[in-house]
Amino acid sequence: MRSDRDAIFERLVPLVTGWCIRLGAGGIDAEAAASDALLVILRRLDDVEAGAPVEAFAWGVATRVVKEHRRKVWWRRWIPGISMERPSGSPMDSPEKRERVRLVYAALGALSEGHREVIVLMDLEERAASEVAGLLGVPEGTVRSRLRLARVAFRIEAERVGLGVVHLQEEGDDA
Amino acid sequence: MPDYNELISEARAASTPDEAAVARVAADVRRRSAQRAATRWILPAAGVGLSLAAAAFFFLRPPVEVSAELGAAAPAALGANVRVTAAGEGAVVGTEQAMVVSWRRGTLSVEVEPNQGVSLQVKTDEADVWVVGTGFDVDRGPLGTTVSVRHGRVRVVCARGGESFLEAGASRVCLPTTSAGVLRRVLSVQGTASPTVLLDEVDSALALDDVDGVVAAELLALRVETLVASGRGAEAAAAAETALAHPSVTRAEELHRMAAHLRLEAGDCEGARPHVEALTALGRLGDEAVAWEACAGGR
Repeated sequence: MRSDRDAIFERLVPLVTGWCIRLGAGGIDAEAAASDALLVILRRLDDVEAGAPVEAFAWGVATRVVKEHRRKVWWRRWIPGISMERPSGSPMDSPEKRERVRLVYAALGALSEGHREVIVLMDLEERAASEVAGLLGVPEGTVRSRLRLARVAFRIEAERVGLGVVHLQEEGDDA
Repeated sequence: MPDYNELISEARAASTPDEAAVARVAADVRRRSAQRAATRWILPAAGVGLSLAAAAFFFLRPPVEVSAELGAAAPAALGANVRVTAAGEGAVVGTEQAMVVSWRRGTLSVEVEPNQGVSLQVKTDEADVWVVGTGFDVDRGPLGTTVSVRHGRVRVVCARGGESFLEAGASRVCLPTTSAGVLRRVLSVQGTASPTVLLDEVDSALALDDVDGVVAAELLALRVETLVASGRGAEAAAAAETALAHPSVTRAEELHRMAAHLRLEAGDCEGARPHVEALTALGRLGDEAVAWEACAGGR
């Protein structure tokens, strides 16, 4: 018989792996980061208060671990012989599509953490603003205003990395 | 112009982990968890081992013996926590953590590292000094043993005078314990101390068990001098006669002369007679003769 702990673990593995891929934005070894984050989550699962959302706790751990991995990558880029390139997209995709995904990652990677997080949760994962507010621990209105600013910032970075001028969706389209 | 929604949609599809990636991450986490559980005891065990080794080093190591004569060429360090400067004579025996210095003469300066569990005792004939983590000087001379504390605190027990604790800047003199020691002290301070203090010292020495022979005779003579200096003539004359009766009497001529003067001054011709006769027999009768003739002739 499987324990609750196993069930939580199985539910969190794809979730945390996805977060690490998106927050890492192609700049880190996302699977290694996910593994690190899940180890911390498992070790501290008993510290989560009864009734508190495990997902919010896991999100907090994942963002911290990804930040740490990005910092390590920043230092490692000075070491000769280590490639910082990560594969983007599926090998089955066309080269043009893979290049576009790589540039989207580059633009996401250039954003501030707050902006990157809100785009990951609201746009890439298509979560409701109320759900994201719970994960980030901020009011819903803050989530919406932060998303607007994040998209503008993304458009600026997208143009800078070579994606061209990006057409933004209208207000109210989100969630 | 690329559309935001399209770009995000492509990125979403590319960033959704496939089953293989999820399986790899899950397997890696399980492997590392198992590894961690297997090695969890290593660090605590290493910590316990190191603690035990440290405890064994400090508590089970054989004590390092300390044994040396202390003098001009005395070692500056007695173990790791005690430093001495010796100008005199003495010896130390014991271990680095517990030692006893027998100090015979001169000045000994001691510095003990505080809070290192060092037990150090300095013994002289007059005083026992226990360190309570401090720097102090012990000076043994004719006046007795003087203990002066530079910093910290010491416990001093004088053989004559009991126990006291001295703080930084304080000092205490422990008086000699033998009649010969007191005699040396009295002779040293005779020119500066008051007759009353000297008389107390002499009487205390005469009360000691070891008083005997020439030392006793000299103390009795000193007692006469201090009584004279105190203006206690009648007692001085009697004390002189007591001194003269001692089998090891010293300074007999001087005592006869003092006794003769004191008796004649008091008009006690009969009392003066044996002293005048003794001086006459010695051929040492001096200006007492005039007073004696006046006293004897007037009877």
